Amino acid sequence: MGAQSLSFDPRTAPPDEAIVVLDLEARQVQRAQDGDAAAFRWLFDRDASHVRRFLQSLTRDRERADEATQETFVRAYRQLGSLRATDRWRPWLFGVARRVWLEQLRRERRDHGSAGVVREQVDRAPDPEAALIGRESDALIERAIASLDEERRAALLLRLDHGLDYDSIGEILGWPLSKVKNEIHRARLSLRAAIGSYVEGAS
Amino acid sequence: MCDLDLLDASVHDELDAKASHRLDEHLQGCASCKAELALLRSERAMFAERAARLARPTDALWRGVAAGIAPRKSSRVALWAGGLVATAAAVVLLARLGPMVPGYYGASVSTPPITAPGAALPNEVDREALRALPSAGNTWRFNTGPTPTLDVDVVAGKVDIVHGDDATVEVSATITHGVYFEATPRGVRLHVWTDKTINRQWKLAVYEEGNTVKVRAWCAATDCGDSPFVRFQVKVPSKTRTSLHAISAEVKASDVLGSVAMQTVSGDIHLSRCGDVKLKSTSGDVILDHHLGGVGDIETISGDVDWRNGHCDAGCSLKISTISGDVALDPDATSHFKLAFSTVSGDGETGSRSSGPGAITVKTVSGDLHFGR
Repeated sequence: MGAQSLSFDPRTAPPDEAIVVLDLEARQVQRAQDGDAAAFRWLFDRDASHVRRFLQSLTRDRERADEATQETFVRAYRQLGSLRATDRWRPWLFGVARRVWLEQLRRERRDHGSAGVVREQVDRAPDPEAALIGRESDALIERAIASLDEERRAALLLRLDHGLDYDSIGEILGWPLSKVKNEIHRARLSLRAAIGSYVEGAS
Repeated sequence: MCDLDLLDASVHDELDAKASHRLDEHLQGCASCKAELALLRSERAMFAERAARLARPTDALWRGVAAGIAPRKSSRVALWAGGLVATAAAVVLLARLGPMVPGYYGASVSTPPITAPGAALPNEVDREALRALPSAGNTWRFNTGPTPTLDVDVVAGKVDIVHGDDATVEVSATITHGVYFEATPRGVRLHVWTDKTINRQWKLAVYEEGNTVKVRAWCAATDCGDSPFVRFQVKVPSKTRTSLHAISAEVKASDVLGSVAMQTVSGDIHLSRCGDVKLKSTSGDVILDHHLGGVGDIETISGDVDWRNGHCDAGCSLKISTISGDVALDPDATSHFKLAFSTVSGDGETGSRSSGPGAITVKTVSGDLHFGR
C-alpha cells in the first residue's frame, strides 16, 4: 500500500468482462407496461423536459409545446403495450411527440384555414420571449434554428440537442440513414453559416 | 479529409475504447480534424447551454398527464381531486424530508440544472429511480469465515466498517444522491444496472474474489461531475484484514482487530478500537479513539492527527509523521511509553514520558504537537 499512488486507480475496478450491464430504462419500460405507475413517472421525469424542448423548438410556442408534451405522454402510456423493443423507448417517444405535433399542425390549418399557415410563418421568427430573456447570441441561435425547414430542424435537434443516434432519428422521421446524415449535415452547415462567429468564438 | 461521421460519433460518446484510441492517435497529427472536432464540441456545448436556458419544471405537466392516464371509469372531476390529494401528499412528504437532507430533497423543488444533452437529470429523478429499485438488491452477504480480507476502493461518499457476525461479511449500500445501480454478485460476475442515457456514470460493485470481499464505486466516464453519495455499511468478522483506498470518502471503522490499512486524499479517517493500523492521508484528518496494543503508522501531509483516550503499553509502537498537520496525543495515565518528537519549525514538548516499553515517535515539518489536555 505504501508505494501506491494516492490517486484512484480505475484498474482496480472489476474487469469489464465480469460485468453484465443491464438496461435500467428498458426495465422501467417493462414495469410501466405491467401497469407500474411509478415506473412511468420515472420515465416522465427523466424525459419530459427533452420532449417539451423538442416540441417547443418545433412549435415555437410554449403553450402549444406544453399541451403537446402532455398529449405525448398520455398517448405513450396508452400505446406502451405496442412498444415491443423496450430498449427503444426514447426514439419511440420522440416518434409519438412528432406525430402529436403533426396532428396539432394539421388541426390548426383545418380550423383556421389559411390563418394557420400565416401563424406558422410568423412563428418562423424567434419566440419573442426567448429573444427577451437571452443574450444577443441566444437570440441569434434561436433565429438560426427557426430558419431551418421543420423536418431538417427536427433531425438536427434530435442529434445535437437530444443526442439520439442516426438510426433512431431515421426511425423517428421515417427516413433512410443516408437521408438522415445528409439532412443533419446540411442543417449543420446552415447553422454554422448563421452563427459561425458565435460558435468559433466559444470554442 | 476527415471522417466527419467518426468525429461526430466521438462528440456523442458513441465510440468504443478502441475506436476512440485510434481517433486520438489520428488527431495528434491532423490539425484539420482537430479543428473540426473543436467546432463539433462547441456546437454541442451551445445546445447544452440552450437546454439549460429553456429548462422549466415539469411538475405541472405531470398533473395533466396523470389526469389523462387515470382509469377512465372515474369521472374527470374525481380524477382531478385525486391528483390534488396525491400532490398534497407529495408536498407533505417533501416538507418532511426536506430538512433532513436539504441538499438533496431541497433541490428537487427548484429547476434542475442541465449540464449536457442526454445527461440532463434533475435530482428528483434520482428519488424516483431509487424507489423503483428493490432495496433488497442493496445488501450483499458473503460467507467468508472468520479471517476474510475486505478491500474497499471508492472515490467519495461514506464508509462505515463495524464488527458484525464472525463468519460473514455483509455490505449494504445506501444511495442518497445521483447513482443508478443494482448489482447482484454471482461469484465474481456482476450485474450492474445503468441508465444508458446518462453520460456521467457512477458505477458500483460488490463482489468476492477468493476470500476477499471487494467494494468498488467508480466513475465509468471521463467526467462524472458531482461526487456520488453512496454510504457503505460493512459488517465484518473482528479479525478481518481491511484495506481501503478513497479520495474524499469519509471513513469510519470500529472493533476491527485484524490489520487496518487505509489511504485517503481529503476524506477523514476515524478509527475506534482497532488493531494494527497503517494510515496515509493527504489533507484528511486522522482521529484515533482507542487503546493501541500493537503497531500504528500514520502519515499525513496537511491532515491533523488526533489520538484520544489512548492507551499505549507494552507492544505499543506508534509512528506519526506529518508535513504541516498538527498532532494531538492524549494517552491515559496508565500508559508507559517513550515519546520522541522531532520537528523543523513546529512547537511541542519532547520526551515527556520516557519510561515504559511502548514507543511513540512523532515527526513533523511545521506541525505542532499537543500533549495531554
